[in-house]
Amino acid sequence: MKRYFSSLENADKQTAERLAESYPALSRREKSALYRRLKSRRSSAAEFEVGEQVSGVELYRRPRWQAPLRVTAAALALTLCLGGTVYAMHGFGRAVPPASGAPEPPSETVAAEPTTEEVTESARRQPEQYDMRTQEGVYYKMLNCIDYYDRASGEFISSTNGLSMCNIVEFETDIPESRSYTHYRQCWLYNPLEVIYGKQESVDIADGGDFIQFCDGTGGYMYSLTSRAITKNLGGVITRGDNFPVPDSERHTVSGGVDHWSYREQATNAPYARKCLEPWEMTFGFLSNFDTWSILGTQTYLGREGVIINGTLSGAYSAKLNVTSFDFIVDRETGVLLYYIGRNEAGELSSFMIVRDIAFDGNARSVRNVEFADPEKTELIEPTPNGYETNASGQTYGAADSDDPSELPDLVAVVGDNGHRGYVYASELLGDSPSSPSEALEIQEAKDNGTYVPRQLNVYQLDGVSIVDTFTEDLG
Amino acid sequence: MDYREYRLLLQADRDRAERLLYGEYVNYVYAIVYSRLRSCATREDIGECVIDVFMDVFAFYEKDSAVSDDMKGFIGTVAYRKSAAYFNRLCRSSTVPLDDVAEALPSEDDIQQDAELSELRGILLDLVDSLGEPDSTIIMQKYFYGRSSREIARIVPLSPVMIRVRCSRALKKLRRLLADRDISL
Repeated sequence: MKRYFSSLENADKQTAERLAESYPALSRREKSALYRRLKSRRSSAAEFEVGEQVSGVELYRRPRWQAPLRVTAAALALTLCLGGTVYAMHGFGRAVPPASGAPEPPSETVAAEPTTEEVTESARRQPEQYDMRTQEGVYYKMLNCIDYYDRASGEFISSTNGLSMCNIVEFETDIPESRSYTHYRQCWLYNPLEVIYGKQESVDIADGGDFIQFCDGTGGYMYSLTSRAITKNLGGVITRGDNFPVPDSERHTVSGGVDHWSYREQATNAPYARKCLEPWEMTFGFLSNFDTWSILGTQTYLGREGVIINGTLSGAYSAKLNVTSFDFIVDRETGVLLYYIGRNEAGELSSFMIVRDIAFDGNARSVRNVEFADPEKTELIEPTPNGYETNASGQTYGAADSDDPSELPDLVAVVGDNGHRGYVYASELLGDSPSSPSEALEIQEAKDNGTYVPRQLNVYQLDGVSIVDTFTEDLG
Repeated sequence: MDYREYRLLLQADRDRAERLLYGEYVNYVYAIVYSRLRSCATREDIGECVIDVFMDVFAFYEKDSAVSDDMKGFIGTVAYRKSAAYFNRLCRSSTVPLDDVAEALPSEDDIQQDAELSELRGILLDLVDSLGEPDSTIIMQKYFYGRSSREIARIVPLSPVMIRVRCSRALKKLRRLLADRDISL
């Protein structure tokens, strides 16, 4: 098949136009990344130097009138930089961490009266540089963690009250696309410590506790994997534009003697993953009193740098959760919660949330597409586990389009020696591996000098039992 | 955006003008460069070539005097020539003088071959189109652009698992369509 597509090489203009219009090579992100590289080169290159030739076009020179303009522009830029530095120094007094990894400033200038979308987009593109060595930094970064990632995927396990059950949540979210996929399983919890330390592999799903919650950019749904039916239409989606930033100073106010806590609107469209991705309730509940917790240091957790927090809890929230002391690990880069252990008065485990896998942005899994089988959106098409269709015996079958043996189906489609189409077993096709390097060398030498006898395999029908032809190994 | 609009915008807001120009033509430039260099260059090299093309295009349009209003034609020409230069640098073992004029003028012997190739390309793309989305995109991304299922999953909103399922089915159908047209290479 690759031969056919090689015919598209050295494409003429008409073909190139068609490819560009119908099958562009680059995703939106790749185009943006390429543009950033272009701008970087453009700004650092010695532009319009005399003697530089544009390929295929005549020599050109820098217009003389541009020289005084460049001097004026440089002076103006310097003035703005100095002014901006002075303004930043009169900010909120937060420690400014090193700029490594700081996001690039947006190329768009913000209008004098920004729209909600522009403000939220600005919050995402220029998130606050909170100092994660300070309590204030950790606290506010957790409350604004959605400004630090666009996409996330992963899995966590969390307890329910009383430790009788746990929730296993697998999630994928794409905030800019307003899409998400969450697989939620509620399971009986027999040995919490084994679960926490990853020793318990199997799960015993509770009745009614296995469902998918997903958002396809236009609406949210819940689908029960038990009843195989859409159980709930969650209505519209939440976009980044709905997620207006809240000034840090307005997060907690007291009015008429009553505490008010200002939350941002949920942005991931993955409500069952909030404990990890938008841990705002726990942030307010556990961390709003800076006197009751402290930062112990950092550690690497799931390959990410985490801030370790230890603290105590009291009052109504403590009673509700049966937690009097707790440990957190907060992701330094994004502010999401990676690890939580709560203990009761006796020091015993009473609740937990443990992330087992997590990735963001370019490393995150794409949000899987959940396809409806009907226009009324009542029935889903569930993808097969390993990507191939299966026969009645549960064996996968299909074409061998991958060079990776691990990606082959159980039954590989072939055309037999006598022209009959069927399947050979991948295990037979791959054959036994040579038991030693010398054996491998012998086999190769036999192939080279023509003494190798090609293997002949049976070709089966789709059932993997009925033989319809033979297939002789092709040494080419 | 035509040349006159571009010139006006360039004077008012250069960054915006260049960004719009880039946005409008990057797919076209990439298609030309990729089709020329896919056999021998890395994605990084191809990206660099695309950047070089736009650097040249921006630099040219900074001039006050315009040579041609046909922006697409000009940009395409720069892309072909730049990718030819890259091809000679990266893909040929010995230094060969760049003779763009000779390359631009096909010999009579090549005309029929080119016509057949052009027809084959058109048929192939028509058949791929007929697969419908997202299968047509998956097939092109996999077999022309050489992406893995995981990479395609970042472009088409399907999991890598579903990508493989659909690719397998689409490929079967495409083979059948090609066989029906009696096309073989």
